[in-house]
Formats: sequence, structure tokens, C-alpha cells
Amino acid sequence: MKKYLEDLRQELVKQKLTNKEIEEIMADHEEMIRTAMEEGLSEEEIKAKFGQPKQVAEELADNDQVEPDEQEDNNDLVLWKTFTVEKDQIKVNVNLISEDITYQLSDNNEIKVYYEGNGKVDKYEVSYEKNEFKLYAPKRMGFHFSFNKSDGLRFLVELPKHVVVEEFKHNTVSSDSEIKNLTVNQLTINTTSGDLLIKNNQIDQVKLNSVSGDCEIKDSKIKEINFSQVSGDGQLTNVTISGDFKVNTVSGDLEIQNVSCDNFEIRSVSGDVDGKEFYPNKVTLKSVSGDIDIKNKESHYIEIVKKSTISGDINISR
Amino acid sequence: MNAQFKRGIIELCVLSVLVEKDMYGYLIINQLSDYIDVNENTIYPILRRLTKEDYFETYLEESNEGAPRKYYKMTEKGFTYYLQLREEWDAFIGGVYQIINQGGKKNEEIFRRFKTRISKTETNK
Repeated sequence: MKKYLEDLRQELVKQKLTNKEIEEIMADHEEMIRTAMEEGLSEEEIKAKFGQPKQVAEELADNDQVEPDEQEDNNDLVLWKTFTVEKDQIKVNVNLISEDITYQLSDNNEIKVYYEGNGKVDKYEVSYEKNEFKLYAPKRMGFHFSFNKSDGLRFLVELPKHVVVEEFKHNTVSSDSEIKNLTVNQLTINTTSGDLLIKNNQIDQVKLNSVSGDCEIKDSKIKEINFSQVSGDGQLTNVTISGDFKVNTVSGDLEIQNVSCDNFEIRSVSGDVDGKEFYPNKVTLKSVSGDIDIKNKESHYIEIVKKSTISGDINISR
Repeated sequence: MNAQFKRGIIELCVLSVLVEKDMYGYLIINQLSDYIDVNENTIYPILRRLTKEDYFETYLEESNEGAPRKYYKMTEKGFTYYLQLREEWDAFIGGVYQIINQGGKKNEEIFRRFKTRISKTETNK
């Protein structure tokens, strides 16, 4: 039965399950097969009873998918462009000024771009070439910047469910942006005053720069976060970070609830961190007056790697 | 059988055997495969998903053969879910039987009634 277990492990790795999942599933199967052998089943009988490892792995991977929720209704919007995607990996590159935008999943293998509002949508550059989706606001000449939101536009971009966005670049001045239900390798966001919501995504690396926009990350699985803000506030709720979580803030505060990560590193002038059910393995604080407050119900050892602050402090309590 | 439909039924079966008592994985598979044509690769993913959704808890217990086994135990949430699913199932399957029994219950009877009806339409022509 060694072969069965070896095959199973291979299939689980192929399905990109996390190491923790794989170990749990392997342990369960070792136990079940051992029990079958103890009960005197022959190799053939065990084979028939257990079936194909590939099938188990696929079913388990299906289970593991983050269920898409709260997709935004696109009925009232105008469907503007569609592009058929044949590859599994695409790039997304978006540059906007003040147009609000939402990204979510489409119901087929097409990228769909919807809009609403009276702005001049035909002035926008939109394309899908060489696996890269681009949406660019028209370049404005001179100083005729229009911040008049009334004739502004709002976009809804839907991406196929099966694709992984290997590179996702989103630059905006004052657009409010929402990213929902996606799988992304590298997400880079730059915003000046636009607010940002990242909800229900699986992301490897997040790089987030915000000047005064507020950023919220919810219900997501992320490997690494690099978060930089000046005066905007940050909020993280129900986020599993398997690697490091690095923050740079001047005066923006950070509210963290139900979050775990390996290394939590923060540089702050006066921004505070308020954590509830926040379980980092290690903490590093560099601040002038910024504090870290953590209140956890479960006991969890948090190593304080470094603390250099003038009047700030780290408080961990239960 | 439609895979999605089958999965729903197996889910109900897994819940049903665990209402009775706590069981380890292999025993659950045995209990089901004794009665229906289903194997581990269908049951285990369902078992794992229901556990993730907090319908079951697990604990380890030593066995006579040596190595400890992982037991699945139904939670209150699981029980509520089971009742709801069971009710839906009973209503659905009751309705299905009403429909399929319209032509008679036993094969011979169905055949006899069908034949008389056919011959009637033949003579009417």
C-alpha cells in the first residue's frame, strides 16, 4: 500500500494544497489503510475500497476552494468589453484616476468589463494582449485634471474563475477599489486617497501603498504582506498570513482581528496597532510614539524580537 | 448517477451513521460500502469537509491493535444540520415514490397494466 500513499501525496501536491493539509490528509489515510490491513483485507480488496488517489485529491481540492461570496450584481451596468482567456495565468495592469472599480469572478472563461456613469468611456485604453489585461485612464494634458465625480465612471471587471493572476498591478489616485474572490500571485496596489477593500482572496504576495486611503483586508489567505501607509488607516479581519507581515505607517492606525502570521514587523511614527485575536509568532516594533496592543483569548507565545521606541510600548494581554 | 446528487446522498449517509455513535474513518467507509456502491475517494472528502464546517469534532483513541485512531463525533451544529437534511430528503424521496409508483409497484404489475393500456389504444384505432 506504500504505492497508494506515495501516489496520493503526489496528487495532493499537484492540487496545490497547503503542507499542513497534506500532512493531515496523509495521516488520515495511513490510519485508514493500516486499519484495513489489521482487519485482514488483501491488497486487492483495499485497492477496490479506496479507489483512485487522483479522485480523492481532486475532490479535496474542490472542497478547499474559497467559496465566492457577495458577487456584485452586474445587471444595472453596461457590458463594455469581453476578452476570451485561454491560458491559466494572466496579468492585470490597471491605471485609474478617480473611477471606482470592483474586481470579481466572471461566470465563464471571459474577462468582462462593465461600466456605469456618464464619463467618456471610449477615451479609455482597454486591451487583452499576450495574456495581459490593461485598463488605462486617458492621459490628461496639462493641468486640466477633472475631479468632478458626477460625470465620473465606475468599472466592474470580472476575471475567469479558473485563472491565477500572476501579476496584478493597480494604480489609482482617488478611486475606491474592491478586489473579491480572486487568486493572485503578486498583488501591487498604489493609491493616494482612494479606499481599498480586499475580500475573500488567495494571494501569495501583497504590496500595498496608500497615502490617505483606508485599506481593509478581509477573509483572505495570504503568504506575505508589505503594507505602507501615511495617514490612512488599515484594517485586517480573518486573515491567515503564512509568512511575514510588514507595516510602515506614519500616523495611520492598524486594527487587526483574527489574524495569524509569522513575523510581524512594524515601523511607525505615531500610528498604533490594536490587535484582538492576533497571533504573530514574532514581533518587531520601531516607533516614535506608536504602540502595539494585543488582546488574545488563547495563550500563544509571541517572541519580541526587537523593540526600539521613544514613548511607544508593546502590550500583550489575555 | 449525477455526481453532485450522489454527493448529497452520501453526505446524508455519513451524517446518519454518526448520529448513532462516534466512529473512526475506516469504520464509516465500511458501514456505507456494505450497503451502497461507494468507495473511500468519495466518502473521505465529504467527511473532511463536514469536519471543517464544524459538523464533526475529532479525537484520538487507542485501539486494541495498537496505534490510536481518529474518531469523528457529531456536534450540535451537525445534528441540527442532519435534521434539516433528513427532513428535506424524506419529503423529496416521498414525492419521488409517489410519482414512480403511479404505474404500479411491482414489475409484473407495471407490465400487465402497461400491456392492457397499449392493447386498448390499439383496438381504438
